[in-house]
Amino acid sequence: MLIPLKYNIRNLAVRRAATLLTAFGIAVSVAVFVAVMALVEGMDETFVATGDARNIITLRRGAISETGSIIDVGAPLVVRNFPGIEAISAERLVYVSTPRLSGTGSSNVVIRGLGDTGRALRPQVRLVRGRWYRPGARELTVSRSIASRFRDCALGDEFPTGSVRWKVVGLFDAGNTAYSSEMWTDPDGPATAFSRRAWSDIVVRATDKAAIAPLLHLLDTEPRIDVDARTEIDYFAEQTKASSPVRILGNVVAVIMAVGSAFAAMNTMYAAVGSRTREIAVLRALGFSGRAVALSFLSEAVLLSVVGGVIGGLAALPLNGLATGTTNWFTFSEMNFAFAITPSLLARGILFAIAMGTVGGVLPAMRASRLSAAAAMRAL
Amino acid sequence: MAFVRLILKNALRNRRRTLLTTLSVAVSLFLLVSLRTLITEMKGDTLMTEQSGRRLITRNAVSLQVPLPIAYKEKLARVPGVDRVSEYQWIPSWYREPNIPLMIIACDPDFMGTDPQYVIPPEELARFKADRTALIVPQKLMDKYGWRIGQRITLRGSVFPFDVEGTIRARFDAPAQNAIFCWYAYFNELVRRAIPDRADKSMAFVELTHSAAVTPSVAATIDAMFTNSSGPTRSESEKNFVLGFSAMLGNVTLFISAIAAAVVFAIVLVTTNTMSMAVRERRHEIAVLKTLGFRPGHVVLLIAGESLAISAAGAIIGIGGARVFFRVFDIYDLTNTVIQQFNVTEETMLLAALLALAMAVVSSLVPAIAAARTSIANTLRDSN
Repeated sequence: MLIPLKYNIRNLAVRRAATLLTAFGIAVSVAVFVAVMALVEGMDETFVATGDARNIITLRRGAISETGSIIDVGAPLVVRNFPGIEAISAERLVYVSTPRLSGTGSSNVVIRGLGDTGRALRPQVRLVRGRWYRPGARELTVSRSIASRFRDCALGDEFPTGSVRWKVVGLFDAGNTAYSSEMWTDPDGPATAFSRRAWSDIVVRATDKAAIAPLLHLLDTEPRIDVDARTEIDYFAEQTKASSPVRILGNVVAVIMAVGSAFAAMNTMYAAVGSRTREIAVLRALGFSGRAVALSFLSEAVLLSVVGGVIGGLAALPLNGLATGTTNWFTFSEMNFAFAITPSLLARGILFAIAMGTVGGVLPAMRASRLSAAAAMRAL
Repeated sequence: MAFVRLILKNALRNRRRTLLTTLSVAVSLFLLVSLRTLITEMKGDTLMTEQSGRRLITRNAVSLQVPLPIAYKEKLARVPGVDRVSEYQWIPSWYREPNIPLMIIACDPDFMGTDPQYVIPPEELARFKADRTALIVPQKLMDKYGWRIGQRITLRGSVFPFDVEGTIRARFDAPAQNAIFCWYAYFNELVRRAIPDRADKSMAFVELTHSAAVTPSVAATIDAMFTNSSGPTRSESEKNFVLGFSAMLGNVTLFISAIAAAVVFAIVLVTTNTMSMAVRERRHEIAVLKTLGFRPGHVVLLIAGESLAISAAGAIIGIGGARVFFRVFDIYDLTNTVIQQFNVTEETMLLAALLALAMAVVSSLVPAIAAARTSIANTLRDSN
């Protein structure tokens, strides 16, 4: 027969101070874990949200990002004639070292030169204020989140790059995609302002899903151009590796903190067993088995950790949606994203707490089960 | 003295609890020390040499992606206060494993060997300067890839559409061991063949000034000189150049500090809990001590002392452990040369120790005061 869970709940309530101190210790570990992983989730979500299944990104062979790719000026003329293409956009990307408004140094913000076709390939991006840039006029239409975080790129501002000045004529919203970290202009803008004639990438939209595989093959094998082609989905999936240093940091920190919290939980549970020797003896005398006693103490530890896990998750929750930015080392440029606390992340946080409680509770529970009724009574 | 012994005896009464608390404090302090070291290493201090203060990096004001014309080199060399100028061009590449990035820096071969803290065997340096396709490789990379002097290697380009094929002529030992050096002239030839547009340009230039004192004014002179040109420049010391990269990451310091604060909070909770449990169990003897004439102040000291003893033990294990751990395990290798050094400095150790002390005091306050306040009569009456 099992000891009712109510017994454990009441015990936790009676030993309020110890319960709370231990639960808070677990909560802190969970909060740190959830906060760091929310950053990872936020970065990854941005990449996943950006890719379009029918778009193909063509980069120079071996290049890992659009900003690190140099494609021959003539390449689009070759690609244009391939079968299965609905639209094609050759683009130039140059990143510009731009000071943050917060005064915490500079970061590289991408200026992407693209035409009407290029814009049509990104339906996620829509104009919210002002207008789109005119070709050849040194005009920029800037992502709203870049405009709010970087200097000289609000609507109407003059944005200086070296000896060239650009006029910010509009703001766009790109939702939760990588484009929300960019400024857009016409394809010739970067070519004349930065004497960069080569293309950075060629974006190709396939007529339908079936056309993708043959197109990829053609692009990869065409001898006149030296490029690697991949779907946007694959390209951005690859970039989620950008978050892996944060993921590693988060895991290492969480595991170390969890060890500390588990030791603390162990202390609390040993103390609980110690101070309830008499109760344990009574339980055993009433006929509960050693195993039932062990299970009871273990569930008390788990209960304690769930309380901690819930508090920790709630403590981290205000971070959800908080916008921030960091450098994506693939593109060597700024990426905006928001902390994302997903239900699955919260669930992982609570599982993590339960793991701490279980590790901390096993030994004390075993000790409780080994107390024989007679010996426990005698000890009093 | 007897008082200290009483504290230690008390601490050792519940050995398991003391051990668990000590270990909990130790792992937390280990983490704290690691986090602070991460912050100090990001500032790049340990990668600097004495000569760093004399090195200036000049690049296009737009960004590192827009190169400067090679003609700038002569103009820079004529700036008063400048001793020597070299091209400075990154060539991102890889060797055998595309996932492990390798950086090649193309420079003026005569710039190599100017910093005494970059130790290069003189005969090897001479051979590097005599061979246009020569490479100088840091000792750690030589070991990592098992290369030897005279070996011809091909480094695959990941940004430029060509590979760099060169002969290892020399090796060096220095604080920073993440880049291989080659001749700029050789790089320029490769560029001219592959992308003629991009030839005769360099991502940046590095200047060696006469002294660290003149470096800031030399930087200002250079930038003023090019203000109205088609390619305005930004010049900054090597140190600021490196700091610029950490700044690009955004508010990492704040983020890591927030984690560290959470860790500190967790330690305080753990020790407070331990001391409260100890006080609760010893209510009767505390009452007896008071009956014997111990004053409330003594009781506070007794509890605080025990907390200090536990924290001190945790600090020795955690802080000392971190120092030893990062000495024994090579972070350079574990992170594929991304983190070059992970030195737990004396300053970090001292700060962590002081913090441990403060936390011990803070976490003993509530239980100690509770113990001091217990009334003898009530406690002893309750005992049955």
